[in-house]
Order: sequence, then structure tokens, then C-alpha cells
Amino acid sequence: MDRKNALNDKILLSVEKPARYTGGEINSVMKDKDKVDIRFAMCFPDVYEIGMSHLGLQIIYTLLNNRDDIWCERVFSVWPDLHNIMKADNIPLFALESQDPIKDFDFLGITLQYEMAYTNVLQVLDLAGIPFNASDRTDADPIVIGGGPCAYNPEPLADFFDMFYIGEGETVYYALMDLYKEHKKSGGSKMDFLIAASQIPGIYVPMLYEVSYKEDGTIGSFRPKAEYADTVPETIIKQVVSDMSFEMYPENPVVPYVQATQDRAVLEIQRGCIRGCRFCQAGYIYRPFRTRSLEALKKYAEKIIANTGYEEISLSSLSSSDCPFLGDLLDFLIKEFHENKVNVSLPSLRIDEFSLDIMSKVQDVKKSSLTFAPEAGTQRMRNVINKGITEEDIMDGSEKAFLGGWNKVKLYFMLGLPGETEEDIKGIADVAENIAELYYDTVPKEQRMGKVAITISTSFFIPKPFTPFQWEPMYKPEVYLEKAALLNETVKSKLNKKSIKYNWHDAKTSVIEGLLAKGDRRICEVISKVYEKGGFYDAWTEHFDYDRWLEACDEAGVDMDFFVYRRRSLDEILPWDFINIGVTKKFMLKEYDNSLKEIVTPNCAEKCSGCGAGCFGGGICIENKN
Amino acid sequence: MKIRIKFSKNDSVKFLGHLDIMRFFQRAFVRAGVKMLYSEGFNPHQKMSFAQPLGVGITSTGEYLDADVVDGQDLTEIKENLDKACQGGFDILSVKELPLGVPNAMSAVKYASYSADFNDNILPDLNGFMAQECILTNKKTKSGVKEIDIKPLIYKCELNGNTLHFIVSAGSENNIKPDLLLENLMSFLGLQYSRDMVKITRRDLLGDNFIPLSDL
Ligand code: SF4
Repeated sequence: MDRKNALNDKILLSVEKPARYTGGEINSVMKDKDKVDIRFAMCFPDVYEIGMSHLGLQIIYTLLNNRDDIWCERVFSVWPDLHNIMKADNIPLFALESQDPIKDFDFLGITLQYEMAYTNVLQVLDLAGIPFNASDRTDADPIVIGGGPCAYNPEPLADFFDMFYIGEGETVYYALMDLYKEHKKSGGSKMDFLIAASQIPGIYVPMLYEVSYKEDGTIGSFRPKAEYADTVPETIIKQVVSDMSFEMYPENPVVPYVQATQDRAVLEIQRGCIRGCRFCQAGYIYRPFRTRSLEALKKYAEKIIANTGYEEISLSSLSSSDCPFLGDLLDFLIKEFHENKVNVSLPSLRIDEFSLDIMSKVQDVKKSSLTFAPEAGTQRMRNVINKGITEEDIMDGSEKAFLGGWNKVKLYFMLGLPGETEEDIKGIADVAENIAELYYDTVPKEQRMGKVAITISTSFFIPKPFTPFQWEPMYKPEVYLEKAALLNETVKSKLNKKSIKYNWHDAKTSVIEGLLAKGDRRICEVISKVYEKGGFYDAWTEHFDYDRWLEACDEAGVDMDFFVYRRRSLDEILPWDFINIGVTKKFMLKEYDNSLKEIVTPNCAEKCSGCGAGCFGGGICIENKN
Repeated sequence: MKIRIKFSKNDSVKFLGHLDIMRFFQRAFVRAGVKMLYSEGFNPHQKMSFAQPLGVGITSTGEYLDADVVDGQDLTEIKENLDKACQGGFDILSVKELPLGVPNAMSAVKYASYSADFNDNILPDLNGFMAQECILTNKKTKSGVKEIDIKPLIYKCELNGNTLHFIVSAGSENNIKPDLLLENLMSFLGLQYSRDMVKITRRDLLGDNFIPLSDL
């Protein structure tokens, strides 16, 4: 098919990586726009290479394009160089496949993977020529729908979306599309459609709800507007796939021409996590833990490689070590792909004999590093956050790895965790120092491949909705930096300081991420003001401007002290309380209490703690009972 | 065995850079089910090499790559399957076995032939241009900008309607990019050159005696 580019050659030759914008990649789907009923633009609001690395996008793309009556296309944030040209020349944002303007589409679906991409959402709307506020749009504008992990607190974006979908894409998209088709045929208004859609489980239409605030600024009430009280639900229930073994898989993922950030085939082996680390949102919102079937995964892997030609396949999950058939799957993949030299890569595994054996099969020991994420420096603190890894685990794993030839270790920690003391911070340096000593004790001089290289990375703890720490305040950036400085000093005081490198994250980005994560509808104005001031690509350090955010907060009357630095009271209405993720608030409160008492909660495989996610009738909650 | 593949780079993929194309073919071979030979070591890679990188925005009807593949595979099958695996972005024009001892594509390239279609009828007679005693040009090299005479490196330069056909020196020594010639020609005519006034196509890559690499 002859495809005409939306941008002329002059423009394409003047921008960085023009192939980001010309589509036509292997496995991209072309259809006749006159022969489909629904045109859906699926957007990842970041640059092409990042968006194309995201499995969820490929899942929705496949799911929707599997239907003959829908054509799903892709759209990403354009890079600032092209942004300026499009603004100056009034070129509307277009989808990659047809190169047609987004404004002509029925739906614009935006996946919300991280908070710092929120300003890019406005960039997409702006370039597409779609009014920012859903209430200002006409029936001719596409319906803007948001999904992904950040949709679990959709309120900071409530003004900008016609609807959010809370849950996994596989479950209700077809029902929503069918409803839309019917509605299009009968010629109803957009509002009629939104009201009808709000009755599909998992669909949240913010426009139909109203919030009132108390004098102290906390939420007084959150409920459907009076006129819709009888029709729209008061709570939105997350939708999940209850049996992953029968789900479709993107066996024909689009293979980018431009090198993607994750430039490989991805095999999602399971969803959810049994661990319940108390800081981890994914660990709660994706409950229950479900695995795909081994047989299906083998088949997918073969097909994906045959259809893409990728030279690497990576297993994706929150915690691969918990996969019951990991060894069998890896053996299969290594054998299967031997001839085509396809590399098998493993996301961070718990380091033990088993995983070291596998790792030595699939990677170059000399070059690769061991990764541990103890997240906290002392056992006390690890109990607080329910991180079930002990220093003994780390030492055992390291010792075996050192004997196996490894000499690089990466350690991930968080600073600013609830109840953190100086001891906990210094403890991080102790862990690194102990590993360094262990190396020199374990590996005889003549066998050492140079010094041991230990890298400590710390991020600052950001309390997230739907975690037992959702009530926690953050520290101010300068306090975070003091913590990082203390750790840095402690590292410098160690005997093996030359073997230990320490990096820390930017504290200013962290507090803004905290604002966006735990904000409510009043944050919408802050985001639009930041965008008006020229801010987007805030997920990119070089484009993030802290002062611009503070200014916008000021102008919007949003107080960081209230939203970010305040401990929320246990009985206040949280902005995301109207969403039911299965895991109950009661359980969160209990977990919060356990954290204060430094009590560890067993993981779902050891013992069900009755979190509430059993209501979905699938995964480990059911298997455990049998 | 070593095979030489001649392929076109069509309009839809003209914005791909050289690294993108290398990655593309590496994967296309796997999709096509061609059995490749790999290098040893922990990160084995396919043994393949391209004749000459092509600039972003330029199409071609004569690109080449040499690859080491497992013996005994049918060349017609390779051609068909690889062509299918390219889904229209590149057409596979020929696949031939390279006899032992034939230099690889990269070292065999001596000349490149191009055509440049101008949007407007802006080119007058070229006699004056080629009649110059020397054509001095600033050429970027590894050690900075150097002034060189490119006239002896131009083997043909003819106008046919709005299309300029030219053959210039190519390969590892004295590689003349089409832009370099066109820019010079424009300034000779007192015009400002910009890439969007012309559609450039590489017609073919040639070895000794101006023989296309596919026929060596
Ligand atoms: S119900 Fe039990 S098994 Fe299921 S996710 Fe909750 S704690 Fe785990």
C-alpha cells in the first residue's frame, strides 16, 4: 500500500530520527479506513523508542486489530524539535499507520505508565487539536480514554479525560467497542455514550462525579452528580483476567526500525506478585498473582521470534523467581533458540544456586553484574517494608556468584522510607562493605579479575496510592539530599570505599512525582499551567524544571505541604478511595499497622493473608485453597 | 557459503539510518528462515557486511550486502523468503553465491551511480560546470575540513530533463557523497542547495571497470 507521510521530506530531513514518525514497521497493521467502524489511536505519551518498548501497548494493539471492524494505530509524543515545527506550521498530530490526524479518530487511548509523563498527555492533546478539558470537547472530538497503573489514581488528570479504564485491557475493551458501535449507529450524543459506558465495569467517567472539600482542604464527599445518582456506580471495580492461560498474546509485535529502548522480544510469564512489599504499588494493584501456562509460553516464544527475528527474548514479570516452571521454561528457550543464537535475558532474579546456574548459561559472567534490591539497609527497616530478603540471602548469593566468576554487584535501595533512622541509612553502606570484604575473603588473590565493583543506587521513597504507605508524607528535597550526603560520607569512610560507587536520584523530581501520584482534581490546573509555561517531557531530567512546577502550584493555589509533606489521617477520604482494587482498605490499614510493629506478612504462596483480591476468583488465591 | 544480496531501498524506508538497516536485515534473515553463520563468543552475531552506507533520505536501486550462510540452501528460496520478510520496504533484487577469493562488497566498491530528480526546471546546461579546470570543494575528513578537487572523481555528469545522472568515486578511499557534488553544482549556478529540492536515488554500486557489484 502506498503510504503518504504526514510530514514532508523537508521536515523529516531536519528532525532527529525521522523514522520515529513514518510508521510502516514490520508487523504494523494497515487496514482500509473505509472498511472499519472504529478508528482507535493508541498513545504512549513519551518518545517513540520508549513507547515501543512497552508490552501493554502491543497487547492492546493486537487485541483491537484482531477485530475486523476496528483499526488500532499508534501515536507517541513527538520530540521537541518536531514539536516546534508542528506548532509553527500548524501541523496536526497524526497516527503512524495511516498518517491521518488524531482528531479524525473515534478514540484516543492513552496509557499512563508514570506520573512524570502527565505533561506529555497535554502535549499530545495540544498537537492533536483536542481541547484539554473533556467538558470543552464536542461530539466531533475523539473520546479520550486513559488506562495503565497511573489510572488507579486518575484524579490529577480527571479534567483531561472523557473516561478512564481501571483494569487489564483484555477484559472490557470489546464490550466498550460494541457499545460505541451501537451508539454510533443510533446517532446518540457523546454524553449518552459516556453515561452508558460508565455502566461497563471498570469504566470511570470523571465528568459524572463531583467532589466537595472540607474547610481543611481534605475531601468531604466524592459521589456521582445528583442527576446521575441512579445510573452511574459509586465505586469502580478493577477488572482483571482471571485465567491467564487462555489469554491471547501479541505474537506479531511491531518491530521498530529505530532502535527501541527495550529492543527485544518480551515474554510476559505472569502478572501480579505474591510478595506484598509495602512500598510497591504494582504489588497491590495487579493482584492476584497469575501465571500463564508453560505450554502456551513455549508456543508464544517460538512464534514471536519467527515473526520478528529478534536476537533476544526477555522474560517479563514482577518477580521471576516466583514462577513455578521457570527452570523448565528457560531450558526450553535455551535449547530452542540455540541455532538462531537468540539470547535469553532475565529480569532481576533472586540470586541463589539455581539462578546463578541459569545466569551462567545465558550471559557472559565477566561482563554481567549481579543485582540485588534489598531496598533498605537494615533488617529492621526491611521488616517495616516487608521486603523478604535478608543480609544472609545477599551474602550467600554473592559468595556463590564470586566463586562462579562474577565481580560486579549492583545494589538498589530507597532513602526516606517511613520511620527511617540514621542507622538504617548507614546500614546501606555496611551491606556494600560486607559484600566487598566477602569478595576478598572468598576469591583467592590469583583468581581475582581486578577489584570487586559494587554500585549502590538509591531512589527516594515516594508513597503511592493503594499501598500500605499511602498515608505517609514525603520529606522535602533538601532532607532527602542530607540523607544521600550521610550515606555518601559513610561509604567514603569504609575500608573498601574504592570498590564502592554511590549514585542517587534527583530529589526534586521525586517530590513532584509524589504530588502527581497522590493528588486530586485540584492538581489538573497545576499540570495545565506547567504545560502552558512550556513544560513537557518532564520524565527527562534535561527537560524537568522544578521551579516551573512550584510556580504553577502557587498560581493554582496548590500547597505542596498539604498534598506531599502532610501525613494523611487514617479516616480521611483519599482521592482514589472510590476505586476498588480487590485488596481492601482494611487490609491496607492492617499492613500499615504491621509496618509500625515491624511485623513481616507472609507472601501469598506461603499463606493467604486474606487481602481481598480473592474476590476475582482466579490466580494464586484459588490455587492455594485447592 | 558467502552470498551477495542486491536490494533496493524504497521510499517508505528512506529515512532509516545505516545502523537501522543493519539491524533490520539481521532480523529479516531470521524471519525468512535463512540459516546464518554466526561468530564465536558470548555474543554471537551474524557475519554480514554492507557495501557502502547510504545517507538518510536517499532511496536506492542498487545496495549490496554479503553474508555467510550455511551451505546447501537454495538461492531462489532465500531470495523469495527474504523479499517477503522485508514487507515491501526493501526489494531483494538478486542473491548470488560469491566464488571463493572474490573481495567482499565493501572493498570491491569503486564507483557509485546516482540520479537526482529536481522538483523544478532549475538546471541549465551543465557544460560550464564540467568545463571548469578544477572543482574545488571543502570535504569533511577525519582530520578536519580539507579543500580538494573533485573533478577527477566525477566520471559522468549528464542532465536529462529534470534529472541529473552522475557517477562518482565511492568506497573507502575518495568517497564522494551526492550532496557534495550537488551543493557544489548549485553554488556554481548561483543557487542555494537544500536537500528537499531534489530526490536522490543511488542507481548502483560499481566495481573495477564500472561493473555492478552483482556482476563481478
Ligand atoms: S487473597 Fe490471599 S492469596 Fe490472594 S492476593 Fe490476597 S493475600 Fe494473596
